[in-house]
Amino acid sequence: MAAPGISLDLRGLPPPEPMTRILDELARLAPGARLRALLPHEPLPLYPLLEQRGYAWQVTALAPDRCELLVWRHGDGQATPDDA
Amino acid sequence: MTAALSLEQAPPLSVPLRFFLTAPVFGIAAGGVLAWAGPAAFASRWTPPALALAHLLGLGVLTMVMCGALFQLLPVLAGVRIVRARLIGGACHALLVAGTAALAAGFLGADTVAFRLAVPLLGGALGLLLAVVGTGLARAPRRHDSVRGMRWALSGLAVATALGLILALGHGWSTLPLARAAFTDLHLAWALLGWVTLLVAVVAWQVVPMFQVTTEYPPWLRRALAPVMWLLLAWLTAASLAGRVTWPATTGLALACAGFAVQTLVLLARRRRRRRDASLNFWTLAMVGLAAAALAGLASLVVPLPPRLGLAPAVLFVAGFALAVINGMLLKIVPFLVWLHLQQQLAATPAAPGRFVPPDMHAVLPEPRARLQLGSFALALAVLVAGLAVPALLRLAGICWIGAFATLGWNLVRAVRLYHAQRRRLATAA
Repeated sequence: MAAPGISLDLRGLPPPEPMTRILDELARLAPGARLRALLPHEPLPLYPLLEQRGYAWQVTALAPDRCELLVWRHGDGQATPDDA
Repeated sequence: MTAALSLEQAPPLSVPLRFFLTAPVFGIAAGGVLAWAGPAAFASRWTPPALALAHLLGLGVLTMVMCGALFQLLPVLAGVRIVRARLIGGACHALLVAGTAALAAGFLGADTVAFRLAVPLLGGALGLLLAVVGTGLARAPRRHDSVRGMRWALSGLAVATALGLILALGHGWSTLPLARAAFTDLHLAWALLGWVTLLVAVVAWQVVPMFQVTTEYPPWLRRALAPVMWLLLAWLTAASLAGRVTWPATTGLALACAGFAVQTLVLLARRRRRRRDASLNFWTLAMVGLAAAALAGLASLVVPLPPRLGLAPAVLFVAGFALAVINGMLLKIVPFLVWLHLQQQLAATPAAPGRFVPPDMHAVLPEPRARLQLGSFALALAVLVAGLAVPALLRLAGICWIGAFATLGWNLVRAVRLYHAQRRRLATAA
């Protein structure tokens, strides 16, 4: 089980604010923790930025206008979800 | 679902930007033609300046921006990587620029050689676009409504291009027998409705909820609009070529356009983010323009418009809707791309994080400049629409359009200069 992480609801923000918030918050992500963000749509342009910075991610569609993004440091076994 | 997108999938920034930066130049040229020709330009839809204007705007501005947007959006929306994007984008751009210039020169009285040059150049540009984007869409791993809609829009462009090339062949080799009036009507319908409207709509499914922070478009509209409009266009084509009545298909098309416009206005009115900015106002103006063009089109079916107002539906459509929506999209897309590419370069420069903070989107294209762009556009549109009733105003309208496109161009150039300045700062910080 991952350590307590960061949880954000970023629906209602125009681009690129959700991405800036996520990148800013990731800088303070503790080892073993995950960032969880609720978004109105899949943040496709964010993925290359996460990849470059050494993060892994998983997206789950919750509804047509809501998805959940989980981000953790690549190779952090404690933070990696069981189904990832 | 775990998405897999790699950096190489996004094309270099120079690919979409070369299209975006060229569009205002053709817009300024169109303004120049109107200022030079004045009232004579709109004496009928067949005058050489009217035909040159239509293609400077339709190909040089609208298709130019839409090509650049497709090269950018295809990887992001459809998950498709365009191989050799810089080479293919560059070739498509060069052919489109040269072909549009040759076609406009042909209409403005140059030798038939200009038409003979325009045919292979434009056929090459649009054929290349259709081949690259069409192949990409056929292989797209993401098959949402916008990807399906893009296929309809692209096939609309294919029909419009084929009809346009046949007409241009007729200009270049006048011995070719041709039902010019019917072919021109169909070319116009496929270009404006089957290509421009459909692509704007399928891009709107994504960018309106995203950038204007609205709820999603109704799923039935996203699924139905493109195939329904395409089938109505096919019906219109068959009826026109068979010499049957075309008003039922025309009415259906006008209602479909009006429906899309009203639905977008409803979404914008109920948006979650209350702040009004220039981009939102451009979108609102564009949708009012589209609804007005549809109403004017319907009115012309019932009561024949006086000759002076015969161009009203087309003018409202091109200037009131299409040019407005392109301005509104560029105001968001260009600053977003600059921000995104700077972020990518920041992450790829190991020593820089912490010592370099990329500017936010508002700094790339500040709101006062965006409002100036909106103001100059609204003035040009108002004078042009007034010029339909008072032709003496058309020269002034041309000058106003030069100003509006120069403002757009200057805003884009400024954003690109800021991008390069920031890249240099980043290199210094590394």
